Amino acid sequence: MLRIDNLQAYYGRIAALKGVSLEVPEGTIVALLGANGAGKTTLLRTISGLLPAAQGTIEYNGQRIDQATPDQIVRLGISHSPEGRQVFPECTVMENLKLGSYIRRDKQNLKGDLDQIFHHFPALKPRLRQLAGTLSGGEQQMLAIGRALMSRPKLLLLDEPSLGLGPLLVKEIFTIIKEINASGVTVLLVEQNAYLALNIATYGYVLETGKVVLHDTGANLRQNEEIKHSYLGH
Amino acid sequence: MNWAKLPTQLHWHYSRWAVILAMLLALPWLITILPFFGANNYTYSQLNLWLILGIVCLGLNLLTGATGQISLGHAALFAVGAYIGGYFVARQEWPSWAALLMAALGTGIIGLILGLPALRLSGPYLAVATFGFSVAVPQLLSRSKELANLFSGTNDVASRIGVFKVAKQNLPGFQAEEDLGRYFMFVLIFVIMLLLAFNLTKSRTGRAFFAIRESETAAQAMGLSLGYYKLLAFVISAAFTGVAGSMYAFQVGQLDANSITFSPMESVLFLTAIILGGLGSVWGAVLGAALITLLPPTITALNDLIKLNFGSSIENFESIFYGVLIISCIYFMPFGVTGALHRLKLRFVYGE
Amino acid sequence: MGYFPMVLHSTLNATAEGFDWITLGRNIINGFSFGSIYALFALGLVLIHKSSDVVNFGHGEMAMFFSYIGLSLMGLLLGVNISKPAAELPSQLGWEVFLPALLGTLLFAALMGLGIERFLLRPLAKASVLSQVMVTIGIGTLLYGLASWLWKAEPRAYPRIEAVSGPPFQLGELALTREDLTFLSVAIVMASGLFLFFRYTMVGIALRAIAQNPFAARLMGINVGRLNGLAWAMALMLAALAGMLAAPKLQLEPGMMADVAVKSFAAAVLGGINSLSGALLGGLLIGIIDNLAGFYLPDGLRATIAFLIIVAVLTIKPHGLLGKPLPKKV
Repeated sequence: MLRIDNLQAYYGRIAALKGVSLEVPEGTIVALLGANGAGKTTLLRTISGLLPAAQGTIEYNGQRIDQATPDQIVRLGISHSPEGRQVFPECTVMENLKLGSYIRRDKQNLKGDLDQIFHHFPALKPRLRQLAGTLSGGEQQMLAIGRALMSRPKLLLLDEPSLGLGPLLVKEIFTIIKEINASGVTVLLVEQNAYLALNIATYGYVLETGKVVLHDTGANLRQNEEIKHSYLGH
Repeated sequence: MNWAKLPTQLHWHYSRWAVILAMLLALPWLITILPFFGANNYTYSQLNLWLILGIVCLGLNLLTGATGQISLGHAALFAVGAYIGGYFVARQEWPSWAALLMAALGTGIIGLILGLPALRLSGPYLAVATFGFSVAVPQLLSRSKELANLFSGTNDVASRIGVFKVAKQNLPGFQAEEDLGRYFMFVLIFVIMLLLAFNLTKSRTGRAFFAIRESETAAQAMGLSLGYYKLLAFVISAAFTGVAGSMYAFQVGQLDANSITFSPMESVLFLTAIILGGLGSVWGAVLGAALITLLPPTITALNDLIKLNFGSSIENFESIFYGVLIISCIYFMPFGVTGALHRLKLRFVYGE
Repeated sequence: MGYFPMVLHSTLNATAEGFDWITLGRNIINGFSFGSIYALFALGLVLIHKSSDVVNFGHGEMAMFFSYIGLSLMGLLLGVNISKPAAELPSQLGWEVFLPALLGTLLFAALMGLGIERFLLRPLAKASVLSQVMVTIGIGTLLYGLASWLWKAEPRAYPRIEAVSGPPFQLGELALTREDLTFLSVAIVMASGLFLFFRYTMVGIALRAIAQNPFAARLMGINVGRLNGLAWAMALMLAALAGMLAAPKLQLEPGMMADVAVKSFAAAVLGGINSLSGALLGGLLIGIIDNLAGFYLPDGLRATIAFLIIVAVLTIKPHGLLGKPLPKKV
């Protein structure tokens, strides 16, 4: 579904991605692991068109998207739930969700989409009229994912959904990610918590200073000594 | 800040300063190479105005360029400096250097008042609050009889309030070319202010200023006292502007609080100069001031040329010219003249 | 120094002899009338600031330019070339002339807004906000020069709309002119229209989203540039409307809006630079304070008092009366 080949990207003059190649097959959950500054977030931003690709290609369903603008990419069915949630704090929960479906023309299905979101995140339903900035961290994360789902994506880019959340909430969020995946959405997941990520991931890539240093199936990576040592804390 | 340490902290080699001083001293003759500038008092007075505006810009740059605090109140500070400087030479008959110091001191204190809103306000809010100061000061100077009596004395009752005669100041020995004499006097002051500005930006205080501009939160986290440094920036900036103001009094010999030089819009002009020159850069302030001061003679001459060729000159030609100039300068040099020069240097010296 | 082309001119009233309620009432009505104009300007400033963080320092000159464009269009419809100094238009015009001229001017303003955003400000998105503000100063200066070149700097009369220049309404001894009433109702209608637009339309919500988090807005597929252009277009259309309505009251000349622009800026800040209702409130307050100060205070202290009050309010409410804190750089 998504095929990235030798991708390079820069922040100013600093190379953040130095030739990354990876593949996300349809229907899977692919995890991107790595330390802070390895280039995981940069990769997601380059896919969604926020950062220009300096070199290399990004193909989505056989179509080159490395030169496309963010709105074109959202229209193609790639949705990005960014690191740190980034909800619109002065907008209501409802408005945030509506903004998620901004690019969609068929507004009549809004109700059905909302029901779908509430099915995944029942906690949001009673808070529809509340300002997003007043939600708790966990609720904001749910809103961020829900907002990303409102564009009915085929591929969901999730950046650090567990960041700053308590263990119980994290577990809940990961269960929901699996549900979302089961409903037919392919997921590319960036996560610090390698243990959790590899638990649900079909496949995993490990990034280090802008390069892929290791990739394997989720199950294999969980057994990998190096991974255990550096990311799983054994 | 350790003032005693300042003079030893020269960050430029002395030889470079010698070259700069030599160039400044030769400038009255060098500038006659340019079209529309002859070897006459008019040319020299334009150079003097450049040095005056240059010092204002150095001061404003220490505030807006370094700490990122916007001030639209500097026209008022300029007026305060001019009136204090004028008062001490005209009414107290002090020597000009002493009057200049008093102007720096007095305006610095007024700058503290101007800076108070900055403790709570920022961005457009601070811009409006300081602009209010620019509106208030000329009005007070031109309406209050008490202030008028203080400055111009009771022997000047017939004249309009706020109009104030000051003895022009000069170096001895320049009778015919009086503006040239003042030029040398001003160059001396200018170089001192330039040195001060340079060392300040490189000092601990200067680094604190820049830290506040980048992120107030981060600066606070590093243990900097925001309020102290913001006020300090206002005071220093005001003192610079006060020096320039009193130089202006020495140059023109008559002050009028209602004149456009002290109008609130002059504050916008100051801001224009430092942005065109390059925010946060000492040389940018000097270059921006040059751009703003030395262009009008050129513009007038150009308009005369148009009149010669097309029969009529263009009304308000200078506005059209300035507008286009400001837009294109920012468009092609978004980080000012110094920013553009820096990029050229990167391209040619480092091949990037 | 001292050749900056914009001049502040202050119109000063004589000090009042005594106090009576009728005079106070008249001043308040007059304040409302001017305040509505400030409010229309301030709404535009807020709109632009909300979308792109820029305070448009050229707003007054732009409105002035639009008033001239409007006058030219009226001239065109009546077959008078207004760039000739002697050209005079009738002092009152019917809707059949005013409305097409207004629509034409609004179109011109919208195109100018789109153009400014697209060709001057968007390329500067990475430079500091001050640089962008400086560009708006440049545009204002340029328009000032262009207007005095194209239409000469002499003040001239501006036609009133026939329908709103009828006899004033009498409220006891107070006269309320139809013009004052028009200003006020236009300002209120525009402010509420914008409020509804931002609350209930998708584009309006998207504009708010951009103001809160441009990064996340782009992730939603919002074309930030295009919407900023829209905000500029809307703001300048408001300026055009305000300019054409206010021109008969102010007398048309290139410097006519300098004073209005400063007060509108103050109004926007007083109400809160990111609040539409604040712009309306701020505009009306500035109008009233300024009129009362001009009448009851010693000659020449009018602007000083107005600004002192603003500073005092801001000291208590640093984000304006109805504004919200601006996002902080971390």
